[in-house]
Amino acid sequence: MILQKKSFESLLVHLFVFLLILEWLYPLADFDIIYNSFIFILFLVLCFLLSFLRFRTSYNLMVVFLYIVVALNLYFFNKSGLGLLWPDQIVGDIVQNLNFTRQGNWGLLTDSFRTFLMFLLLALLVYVLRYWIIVRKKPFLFFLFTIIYLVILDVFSTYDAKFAIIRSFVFGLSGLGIITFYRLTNREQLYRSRIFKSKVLMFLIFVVFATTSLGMIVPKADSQWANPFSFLDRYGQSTGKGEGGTGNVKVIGYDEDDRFLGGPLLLDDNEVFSVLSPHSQYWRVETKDVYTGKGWETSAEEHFLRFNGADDGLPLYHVEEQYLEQDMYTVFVETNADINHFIYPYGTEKVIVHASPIVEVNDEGGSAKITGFSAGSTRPLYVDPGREKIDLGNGVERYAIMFRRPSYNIDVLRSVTDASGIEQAFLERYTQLPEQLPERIKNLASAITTGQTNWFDKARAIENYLRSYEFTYDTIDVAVPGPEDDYVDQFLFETKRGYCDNFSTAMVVLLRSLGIPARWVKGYTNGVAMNSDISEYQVITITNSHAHSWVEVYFPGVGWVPFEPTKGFLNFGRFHMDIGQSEAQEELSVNQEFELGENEVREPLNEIELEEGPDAISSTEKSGKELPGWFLLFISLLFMVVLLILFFKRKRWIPLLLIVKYRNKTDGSAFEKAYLTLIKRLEKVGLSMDAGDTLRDYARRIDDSFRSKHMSELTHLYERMVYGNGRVKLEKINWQEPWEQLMRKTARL
Amino acid sequence: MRTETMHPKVAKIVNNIEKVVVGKRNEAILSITALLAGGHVLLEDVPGVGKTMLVKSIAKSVSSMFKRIQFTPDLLPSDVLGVSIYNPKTMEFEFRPGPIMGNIILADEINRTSPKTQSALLEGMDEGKITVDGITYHLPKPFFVMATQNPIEYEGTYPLPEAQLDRFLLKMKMGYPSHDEEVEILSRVEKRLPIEEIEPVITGKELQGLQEEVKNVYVDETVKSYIVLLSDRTRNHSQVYLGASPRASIALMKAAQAYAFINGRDYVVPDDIQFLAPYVFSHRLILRSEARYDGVTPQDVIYSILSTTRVPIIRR
Repeated sequence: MILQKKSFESLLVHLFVFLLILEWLYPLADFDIIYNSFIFILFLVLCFLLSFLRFRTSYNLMVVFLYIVVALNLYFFNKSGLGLLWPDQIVGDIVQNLNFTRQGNWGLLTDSFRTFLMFLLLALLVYVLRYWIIVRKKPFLFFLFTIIYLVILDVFSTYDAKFAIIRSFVFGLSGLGIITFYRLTNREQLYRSRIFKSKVLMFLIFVVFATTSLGMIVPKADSQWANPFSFLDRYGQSTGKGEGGTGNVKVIGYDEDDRFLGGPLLLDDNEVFSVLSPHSQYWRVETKDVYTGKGWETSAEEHFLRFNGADDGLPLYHVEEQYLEQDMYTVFVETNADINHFIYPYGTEKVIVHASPIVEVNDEGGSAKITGFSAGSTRPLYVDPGREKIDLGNGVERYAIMFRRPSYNIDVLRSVTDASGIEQAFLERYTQLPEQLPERIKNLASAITTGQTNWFDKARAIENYLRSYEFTYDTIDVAVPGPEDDYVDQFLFETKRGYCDNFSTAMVVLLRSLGIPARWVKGYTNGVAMNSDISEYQVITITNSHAHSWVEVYFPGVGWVPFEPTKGFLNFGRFHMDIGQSEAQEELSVNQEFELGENEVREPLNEIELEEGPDAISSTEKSGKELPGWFLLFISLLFMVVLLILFFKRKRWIPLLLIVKYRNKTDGSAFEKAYLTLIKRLEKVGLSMDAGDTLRDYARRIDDSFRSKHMSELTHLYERMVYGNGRVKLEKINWQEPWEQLMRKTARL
Repeated sequence: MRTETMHPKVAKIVNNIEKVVVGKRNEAILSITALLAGGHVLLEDVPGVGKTMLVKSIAKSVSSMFKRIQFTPDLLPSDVLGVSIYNPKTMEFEFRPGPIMGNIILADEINRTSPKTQSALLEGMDEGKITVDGITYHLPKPFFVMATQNPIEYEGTYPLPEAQLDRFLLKMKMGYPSHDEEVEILSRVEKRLPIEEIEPVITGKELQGLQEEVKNVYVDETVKSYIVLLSDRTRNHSQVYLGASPRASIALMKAAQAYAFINGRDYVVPDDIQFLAPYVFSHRLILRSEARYDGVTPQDVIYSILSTTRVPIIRR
């Protein structure tokens, strides 16, 4: 296997494979998918060098790891040298991105993490190619894929692969020639003398040169496809969905116009708000109450009332006083200048325009603290009570909000079973449905809520139904309702696939069909939280991708209570229960209260069902909230290390596992299996049975190498089982002891 | 093979034989294998290596009728089978049985006689009866023939045709004794011949009983399939012109049953097959002439097949 040694030929093959991979990398740099191809090329050089030099795997891993860390440090975190090998940024970055990954928010992954993944991909690629080409000596498929890749890029993109194809051809053919030469001489066991080798090499160079120049010289037909896109477009139009809807792709973000919902969404990572906040929460913008069958409108005309910011009683989100917690929190919002809507948390009491935090740095501890905020301006603010929307006017880029977080008592919510105590006009407004609403939606709503008596459980049932496996969260393949379709009907019965608008609208409509007042709320999810220098505060970045919609249900005596039917998002509402003893209450309410952690996606289980048996949330999920990110990373790293160790040490522990497995089995079939398992284990440690070996020959060999007689004893029994038609009563014979001893010996080898 | 693990009655015979024949335990056991399986043995070797002595000691160990036929070129079939002679007293022809009417027959130098006489013996071996002047006479039981032959390269021999060879269950060579063994032989015969001192250790009836027991030795499907696999591979072997027939497979199985019985087992294991295959198959294979010119022997072919065929170790 000369190619696996540090020979000149091996160097050549490595070089050609490296050059071929470069051809994969160039277009990526050309399209600005990677900005700095130098660090990747250097990385590839390193990987191939390691592969060529054939160090131990652990050294290779270390070097590669070191390179990645240093490269990420230098490039993204502006830190030089190795002194900061393991900085907070990298860890924090990885934790945050792992969260995104769990969530499926691929668009939110940071560049540093993407770079990290790219490094990983390249390292794996080199590893696989090494096996594929150097060890197995099968280079053709890779060569072919490279050419196909370049051809596709050339045809369908702006990338000019003319020279890339020629280069790949030369490199590929040369590599192919060398490898084939070694494969053939190995197979035929020819002696490779120097002269013979140089002759073959000359011939190879000649062939490569001749074929390449021939290929370049010969006349080529013009392309048959002047422009592949126009052809594909035509094709698409003739077969694609012709009717219905605008079909245009929307970019995710906050959109005032909700009259026509549906269609795919593109993610947009532009930042719209930056918030200093003590905790994560959902951010409201406005609510809508009229469902048209295609989308949402508001019943009332736009009508803003003027308020003084410090005033209490802003007609925003309403919940009865006893369901607001005592603690008053302040958040500081900075908005992007282009945004003309404003966000506020649940329980907003005061809004101070232009206010910014006063930060006091504690010299001793080095931690900063917010001690208050600048008074802000006396500029008035406007609130539209019909939509519960704030307007601060143009030019407001920063404001502070004081709020008390609502917490709902589930027992009280459960006590609501009908609409008594609600004004008729109010009820009609929030149970409005279009007249042509298909009957089957109502039937579905009744079916889902069968067995539930109170509004709260009905709402939960609908929420759970929408979060069930029947529905899929998707932003791309989302239908636009045709002229005859109802938006909700299409989602519930036909596509079962969509994003927040689909889920939330469906829930509102289902609730309303049961006569439960509900409305559609728009705003933003938690955003991305990062630790800040200010104690007890986080920096929350809210981008367009965080735009979201959800549901509020009205409970008489309580107020509006939020629900989250969208898959992949969790109800952020804080609920608690009354427990008999007051002492227990405090403790349990802490456990049962829960808020959405930083972008955490959990199973569509609801925390309040804790007490209710099968659906109870598991304890790990609860504790997951308290665990810091670095701990999770550490645990998962540890887990991976353990898995790796287990994998590499499998010869040691698998026999022990098998011993336990067979320990209490005494019947004949168990012995047969155990014996065959033993043979397999022995084969794994290199003592395999030769073709002509009988069991006795084999047993003798094993016993010779272990200096025991156990294998012969067992073989004698096994022979009787297999060739003697089971003429042995195993119950009386202790086969386990010699068997276990042998298994242990295989573990020690 | 140690005598402790053997069937006790067989062990007695083997011990008896070893009082006479030095260092030929393997051949003794193979002979007994054939005896118990109801087959016959062809011993092939140069004169003077103890072929006759082996047969004689087996015959003397079993209290049975021992007959010896010395084959010569002028021997006639009637010299083997017997002849009807006119009795003037009774005025009838009376049958005078030939030497074939015995329990253990030593057919010495079988390839020295004419094919006519050879086939007279071999037909009797196969069918257990002979026909003289239109009257059928059953041969006594047990009936066991051990034929010896000089290697066919020697002059003045009539090689047995393949069809005739097939009648022998096993074919083996004696081989020269080792130095120590030969010294031992010399000391034994210094004063008197040991063959004259051994006594029978088993009766003919007992022997028949053992033969019946051998038939009950269990052969698992797994082992049967191994036998067939081996036969099949001789048929497809590149150096073999004519491979082992189904009769060869049967012979191997029967021999294996007897061999397993001798080893004190009531079931056959692949080891039995591997041990016996060269003796059972070697005289039944015809190699291609190229292989013969290359000096390949049937044993070589069988050993190569044995070492490349996977032994079944899982119950079918």
